[in-house]
Amino acid sequence: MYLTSHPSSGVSAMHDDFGGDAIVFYLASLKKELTVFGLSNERILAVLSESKMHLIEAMEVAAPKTTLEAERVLEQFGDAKLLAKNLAREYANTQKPKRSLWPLAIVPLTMISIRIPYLYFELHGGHSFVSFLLVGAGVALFMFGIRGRRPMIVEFGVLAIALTIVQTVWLSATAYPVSHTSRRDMTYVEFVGRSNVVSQVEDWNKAIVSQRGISDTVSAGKLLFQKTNVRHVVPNKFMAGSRYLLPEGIREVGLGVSPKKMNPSLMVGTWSEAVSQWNADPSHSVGASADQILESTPDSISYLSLSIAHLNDIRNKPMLAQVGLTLPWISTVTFSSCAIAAAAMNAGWLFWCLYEVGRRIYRRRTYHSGRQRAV
Amino acid sequence: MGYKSELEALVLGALREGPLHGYRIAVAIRAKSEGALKVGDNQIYPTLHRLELEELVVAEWQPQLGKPARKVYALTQSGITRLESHQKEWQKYVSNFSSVLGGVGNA
Repeated sequence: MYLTSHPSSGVSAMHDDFGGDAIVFYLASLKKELTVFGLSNERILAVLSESKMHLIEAMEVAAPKTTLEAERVLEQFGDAKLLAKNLAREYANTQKPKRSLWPLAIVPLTMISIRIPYLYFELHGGHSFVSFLLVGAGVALFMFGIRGRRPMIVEFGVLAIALTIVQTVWLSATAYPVSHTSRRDMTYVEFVGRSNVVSQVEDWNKAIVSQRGISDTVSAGKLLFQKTNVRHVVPNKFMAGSRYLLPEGIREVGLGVSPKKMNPSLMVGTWSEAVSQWNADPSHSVGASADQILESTPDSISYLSLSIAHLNDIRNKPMLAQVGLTLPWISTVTFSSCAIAAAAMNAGWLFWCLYEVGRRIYRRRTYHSGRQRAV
Repeated sequence: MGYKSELEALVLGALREGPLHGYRIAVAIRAKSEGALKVGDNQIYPTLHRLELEELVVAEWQPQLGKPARKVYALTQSGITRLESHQKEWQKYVSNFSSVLGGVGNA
């Protein structure tokens, strides 16, 4: 009952007994499944040869007298599709370079990069370098997800925990957490370096003075640029060279922005344009209107005053209280970042899965066309 | 131990007494485990091929007179080390399990 061909010849042998027929039938099915699962021709031949020898020996021992008995031997050997699937998985798993974890380093590198102020320079179309960096990191993770060929959830979880611990320890040792609550009751935490406390408080106090100055100037501007007024000498604080500053321009100058670097639309060339813009409806004004600036100034001053108060308060609290404020904020930010990164990388893996499924469907559908059987 | 390492341990264990080809490995596992292995015989091949790629076993095609050649597998030194590791792990598992159950089999 031997299949008399050489192992490398695959499924060409035939025999006239039940065992031989069953083996030929099984090997044909196995060959199709191995092809569908994308094994190389060399591996397909090796698996077919081994399976054939295995089945020959099994048939010799069982010596089937009926088709049913021969089928029992095949049943003992196992499903052809499962064998092909597990072989494909084992070969994929042994491709170790594709399982590298180093793409995870993109996450901490990106998190560090977005905290470097110098990287926020405009690169193209009003978008900063950091914007492109984030998009690039997402694309890179997606590509590594395709290359990695496996889901990565636990790894990102471990990374998030590790980064949270490192950041919490580092920030607790080097900075004070200052909490802020916005008008929409959203709380966020800003970190002030322990060695920068004095200069930070000075900066906030200067900002309070600036905000008050902006408010006073804008109030004066509202009186100056009334429609009933005729053009007269305009104080320098409303001018940028020979052009008239609009309310948003006044605010930017008050915040220290040079008129040369300012958006040109925040200043106009004629008195009538200036009057028109200063009195325009907020929805039609360029930038914030005078009323909007006056309305928001108390909130800005309150925010800065509370920052100083919270900083003084947290400095006098024990380390445990500081960690209690740092940990939830850092863990939220870090886990969110890792979740986004995990989504990008696993999207790549999912893309690869869909691609592989598509390829298997294509191979299965075209198998009988002859091209796929040329092993 | 999960499914994968169980089968790996069984395959390595079957090769402990000398080189075998696929069919003999399957028979040895079935005989020694008294039929405990419920998966199809062909499931040893993905494991064998992985072990070969990991160089825990070496394989050689042996020609036969009047029959197709067969692929014979043998343990390498790394394979023996891995088998010993499985043996220790399994003994610890059985010992822990028996401690909880309070029955026989404490290693």
